[in-house]
Amino acid sequence: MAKAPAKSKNKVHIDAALDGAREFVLHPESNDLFVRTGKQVIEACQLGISVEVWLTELSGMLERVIRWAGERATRVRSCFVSPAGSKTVLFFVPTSEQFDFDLADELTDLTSELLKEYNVGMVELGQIPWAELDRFLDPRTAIHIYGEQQEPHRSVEA
Amino acid sequence: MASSKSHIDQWKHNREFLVTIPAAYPDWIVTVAFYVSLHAVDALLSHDKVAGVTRHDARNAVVIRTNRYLAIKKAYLPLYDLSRRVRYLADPSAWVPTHELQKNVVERYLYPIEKSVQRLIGVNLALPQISIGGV
Repeated sequence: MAKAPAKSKNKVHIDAALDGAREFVLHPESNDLFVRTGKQVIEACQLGISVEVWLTELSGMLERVIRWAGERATRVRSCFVSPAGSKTVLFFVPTSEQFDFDLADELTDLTSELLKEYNVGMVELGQIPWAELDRFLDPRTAIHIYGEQQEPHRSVEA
Repeated sequence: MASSKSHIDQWKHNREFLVTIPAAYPDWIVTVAFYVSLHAVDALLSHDKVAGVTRHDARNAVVIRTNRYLAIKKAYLPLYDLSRRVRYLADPSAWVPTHELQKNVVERYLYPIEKSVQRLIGVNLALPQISIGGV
């Protein structure tokens, strides 16, 4: 018979000076995993909401982004979310091999919508080419949320 | 806070450099075009007495959240994104082909930003047309 999971008893202190760069893994009930630095956890609190609410807002935002990308499946090949300092960056890979200027216009509208509808702090949306994903995505923190996924790089896989 | 005039001077200064860059360097054309637009935006923010904007994130947030800057936002954010990535690419010409520079980077993004800023601060700088690569 499986044992019930142990409950954490000790408080975890996050000190901006000591833990600002330290990574914390947040594991909500949805089983999504979020890796955030101490600095980002503190900044989420400074938004005036709890980390739990922030995660709920983030999940809602990502669901919206996935729907948005799905509605443009012929032009969006893949989408990733990645923390960058205090902001959340969403990377869109167009199906074209070059920057999609029309998609960029729509991403600007989506940026405004996300900032208006979801309380997650600053959000930045951008396009990156499929051929050079590894220039922009940190495999330790970026999360694939939509579309095609590249095979892991051998050195990362090992 | 630098004056609106000093940002206008730098806007023109960067513009003069932009037209000297050969079309074979799309990464640097995009990057300089962005910094032309950045000083145009900063001239406007200085004119509007918007203080404390020293970083891209802060500038983007002001541009996104201010209705008065709506027309600028639609061109500035894509140009920011393009410039932010293109200079790190191993093959920038594949991402932004030369034939897109005049039509999309200059005419679709840069001109509307410049036009809107001039309208909002009430000046006509009589800026010359930009021909990428001297085309």
